[in-house]
Amino acid sequence: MDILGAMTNSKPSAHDFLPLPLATFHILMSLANGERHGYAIIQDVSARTDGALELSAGTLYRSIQRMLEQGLIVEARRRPASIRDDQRRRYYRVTPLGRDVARAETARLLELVQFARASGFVPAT
Amino acid sequence: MSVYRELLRLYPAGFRNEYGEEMCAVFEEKRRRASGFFQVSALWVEVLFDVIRHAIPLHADSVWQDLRYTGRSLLRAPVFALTVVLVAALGIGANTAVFTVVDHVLIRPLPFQGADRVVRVWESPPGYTRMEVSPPNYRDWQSTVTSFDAMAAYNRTSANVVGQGDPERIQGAALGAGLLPILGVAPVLGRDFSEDDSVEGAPATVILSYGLWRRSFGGDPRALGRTIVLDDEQHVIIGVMPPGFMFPDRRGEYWTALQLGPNDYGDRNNNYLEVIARLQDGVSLEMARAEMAQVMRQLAIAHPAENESKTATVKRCPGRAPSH
Repeated sequence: MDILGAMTNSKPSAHDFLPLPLATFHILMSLANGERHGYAIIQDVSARTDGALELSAGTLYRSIQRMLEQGLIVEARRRPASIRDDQRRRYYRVTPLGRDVARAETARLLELVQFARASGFVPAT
Repeated sequence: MSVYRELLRLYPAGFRNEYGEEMCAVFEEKRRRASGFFQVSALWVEVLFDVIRHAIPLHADSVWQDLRYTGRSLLRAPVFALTVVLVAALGIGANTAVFTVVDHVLIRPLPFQGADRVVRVWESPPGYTRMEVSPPNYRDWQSTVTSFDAMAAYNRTSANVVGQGDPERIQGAALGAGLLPILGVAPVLGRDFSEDDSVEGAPATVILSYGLWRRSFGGDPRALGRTIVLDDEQHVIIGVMPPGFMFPDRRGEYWTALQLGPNDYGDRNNNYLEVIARLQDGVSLEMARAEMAQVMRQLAIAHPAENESKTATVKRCPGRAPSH
């Protein structure tokens, strides 16, 4: 992944970011259906993986920092009414580039799975 | 919570300022959901490892970003970059040169055993802290001061050498007997000056530096006993010092015997001897200074015309000290 190239070119290709780090991909999936704050992302990832993946605060915010720099996500301006929300929270949403990257990563993984299946690595049922 | 905030200080300041409050909010949520001793303990362990695992790479990222930014800035202005490199190189070079001198002159201890016990002693009249010593005062110091187990004088000299290749001007010193043992060095070839060599009128003798011996005699051991002409006077070569020995400074290449006679001891205002000494075991520098002050008071009473208001300065040798 040529991140430097991706960051310095005016229009980076989605493929420049592949393969995606696991945490990055999960964060993109978590934001696929709407804006979320950090802790909500942690909960969502944990729920979706049945607790197998519990993002730590360090992993989450280091990933968020990098994804903001790469333009995969942005900070959302809209937020719930303050009475229902912790003002320290910030909400993030996925960008069109982020969606493209997530799709490209999905395609890459699907292709990988097809290769694996063709090689006889079929999951036991 | 305050402990967690302290842990966050391990992150780079920029990252902490940007995400610290959110991370605290996340930690509070996790802490609220953790119940029981084991869950709370597990949370703290997780937090500790999390901070260590991410703080170090983030610091590395920060340094790497700075380096990249610096590299790009310099590449955009190559002339400026070259100037910066040259100025830095000059600065480092000058710094190295100065430090090398300072190291040799002020820091590095003399390269012989007990160098920290070797001191230099000067007369100190009003307005001066370091004046050379007159032969009569030197003789009185030698006979009365007990703080030193050895004291010796020398006098810087220079001479024209002829008859050994091209004529040349060389620097050296006339050494009192016992000076080389104070420095803890001895000739690598031949012998040191004896008391007999130091008697006025004794045959002129000389000890050569290793470099001068190699240069003038091709390193031939048979040079011992031969003569060399220094300022039109024949000197018998009695020794060769080890390589690297330089005295009283880095230019010193030959040493003759300091010969003091009645004429030298007649004038207490004729100050030209430099004096080194070695502290007795158990005697501190302060004790030696106190005794020298007392001795100078006695000499002022005995010889008020020349010694009134004079005291003495005693300093450790590293510095402008003899070295090899």
